[in-house]
Amino acid sequence: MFREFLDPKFFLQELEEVNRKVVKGAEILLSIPDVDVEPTPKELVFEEDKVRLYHYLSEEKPRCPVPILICYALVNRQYMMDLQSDRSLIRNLLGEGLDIYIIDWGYPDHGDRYVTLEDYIDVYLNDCVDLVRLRSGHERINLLGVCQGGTFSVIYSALYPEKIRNLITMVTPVDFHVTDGLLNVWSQHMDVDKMVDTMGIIPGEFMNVGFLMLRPFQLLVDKYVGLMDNLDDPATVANFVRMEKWIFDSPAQAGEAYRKFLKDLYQQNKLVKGELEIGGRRVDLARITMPILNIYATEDHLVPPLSSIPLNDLVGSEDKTLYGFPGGHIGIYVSSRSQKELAPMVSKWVMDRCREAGREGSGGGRPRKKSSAAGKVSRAAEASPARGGGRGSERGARGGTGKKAGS
Amino acid sequence: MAGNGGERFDWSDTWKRWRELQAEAMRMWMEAWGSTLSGGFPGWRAASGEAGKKAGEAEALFREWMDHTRELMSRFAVPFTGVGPETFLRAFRSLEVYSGLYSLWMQMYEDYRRSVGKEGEFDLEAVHALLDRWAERYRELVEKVFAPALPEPLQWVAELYSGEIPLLLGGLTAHFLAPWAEFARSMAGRGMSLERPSPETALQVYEEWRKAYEESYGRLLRMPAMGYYRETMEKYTRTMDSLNEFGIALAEFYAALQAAGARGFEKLKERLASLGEEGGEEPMSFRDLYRLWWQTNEDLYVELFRTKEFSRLLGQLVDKGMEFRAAFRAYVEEVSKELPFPNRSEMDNLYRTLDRLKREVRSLRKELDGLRKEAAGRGGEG
Repeated sequence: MFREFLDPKFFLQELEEVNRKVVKGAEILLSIPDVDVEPTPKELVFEEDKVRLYHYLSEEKPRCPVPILICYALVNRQYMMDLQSDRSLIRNLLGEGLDIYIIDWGYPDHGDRYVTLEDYIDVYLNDCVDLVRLRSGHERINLLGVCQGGTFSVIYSALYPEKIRNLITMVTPVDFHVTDGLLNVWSQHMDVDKMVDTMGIIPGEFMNVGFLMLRPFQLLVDKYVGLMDNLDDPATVANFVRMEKWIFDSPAQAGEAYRKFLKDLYQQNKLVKGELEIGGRRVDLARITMPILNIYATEDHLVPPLSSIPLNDLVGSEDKTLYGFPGGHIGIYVSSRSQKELAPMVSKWVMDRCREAGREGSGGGRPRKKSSAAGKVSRAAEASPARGGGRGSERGARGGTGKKAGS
Repeated sequence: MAGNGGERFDWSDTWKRWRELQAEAMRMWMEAWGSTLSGGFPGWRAASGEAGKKAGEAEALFREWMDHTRELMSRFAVPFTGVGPETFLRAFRSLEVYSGLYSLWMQMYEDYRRSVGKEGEFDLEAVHALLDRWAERYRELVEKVFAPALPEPLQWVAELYSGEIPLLLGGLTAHFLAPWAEFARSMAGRGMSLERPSPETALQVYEEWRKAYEESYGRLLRMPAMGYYRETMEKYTRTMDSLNEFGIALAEFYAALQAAGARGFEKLKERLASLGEEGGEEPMSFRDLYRLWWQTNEDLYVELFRTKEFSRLLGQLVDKGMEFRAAFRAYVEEVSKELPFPNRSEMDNLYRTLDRLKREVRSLRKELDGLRKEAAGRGGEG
């Protein structure tokens, strides 16, 4: 039955091949001092507490003047979107002529245990949005949320629709009670209060155990066995190590924000029920009327498609697009297919709306006088008058209840 | 040296008899204890019948020797002050105490052997009856032997400990041991096979262990501490208790994983068999087999992970882990409070204060910006 037993020559050949790869792989691993990530140049434009806002630098003038602010998840690091030069959604979007800002949430420590979900959405995200509005001169900007950052972006867009021109969500959980996702199932039995009260902040290692358990054999065994096959290829090994760095470069979660996110969303599913409150204000998804592009990954084991898809039925937008990317939660950023398809699709979607915004006027607008921005943003906004525009430039309704592209 | 009465005292015979008795007593004593102690458990129990018999003989011989010696010494008339027959009598009273204790111990051991030693069973009622008998003997011993040996003002101390206290203490000990004896008996009866441990059996074992723990050490560790080190002890015992609870939850969790692993193995065998039956298949390489192995297992583990029972186990594991972590931190903070650095609780208080201050500053800054704008607006109007 086993070829090796039937043909000892085959067994010896395979053994020799494995040995050769191990020796060669050891040489390669020893020759890699470390791996670089985030190759695309960017500048720091704002910081508040541990949050930093970066603006990606591009030699070309953006073809769409309305910038995109990327709001990544609190879990893991935002450089997944710019892992390496040939696997970079950021670089691809820049290449398509978009102007990109990205939020780096930093690494919360015990001093951040009292940072709340309201702080993340009403303060940090809002201040970043205001700064991008100020720098670009546009009253409304494009917001692109990724994973948990997508949920933040959805909540934010419902609370501050006047500041967002287009909303793009990628692999974003909205319905937390679908049973396809193990995280949704497991979280139902967690005593979140006890976890937060005990640990203060939730360590990244703790989160990683949960993620690894989603696919234990694939992530703890086969992944490394697979590496054996490519140990003699320096580029593949370096790519592997980069991904490994990203996977285990896991910030802790600020305790109070984690508490509310887990209890209100994962356990009680308040967002889709219309019961979620942020800072005493109810989050009504029907208030999201701007164009929305909802991208999910068809093979996503972290955020199952059924958790993302319902968003399009809950928002008040008439211009809404659903796009199923054939791949997994991570593959959507790093797969070769992603490099070819995703950025062009996103940029086309944005450009289409950018051109229409251009026809409507400058596309800019004066930031509202009554801004909740604090600190540097608020003072800077006062000192720098913005261009005209405003709600009058709101894009007209598009027909249809949503369309599905890709798969 | 003078005799006690008119009858002539045969000193040489008496001395010879005394020496023989002493030698015999020592020999039997050593032999009895030697055979008892050298066996070790479980040979101890098997050997104890013979050893007990010998020890009983040794005790009888010792008493004979003691009586004889007391009689012998009472005939002495030591010509210096303070030493006389009474002196020897007092000395022999202390020997009697020793002998009484030894007698009690042997009797207790024999009772225990009869009550508990049957096929490893532990009958709580039988043990209680045993304790009653022990307490009664102990009371007699104290009344007849210990108390008279003590100075009169202190005899109440002995009497205090001759009544309910040893009985209660014994009962408490029996209650403490009973769950573990039951657990041991259950384990012995289960006849677990080490060749292929079943996860279900393991779960039952953990459940029985938990029951024994809850009824014994668990109660002990949850007992309120008292005294100068009350706080430290309480935190320590809580830590240990929560660690045990975590261990139980962890075992239950692993048992579930192990069950999935066992099912994975069976499933793999089935798949391999079906491949063989189908025939015509290309011979598998080890790589093919490996792939089949991990994918089969992955499917079964994910199937397990989707169950509510697994979620419950995971939630329980995290919950118990948090309880242990909280208890351990409290203990560490208690024992390190004199060290020259702040602990986590103190830092948390600082962080809370800092958080409030930051919010206040943010709010004031917002208010100030609004006022500035308002003032600027009024200035412009004017």
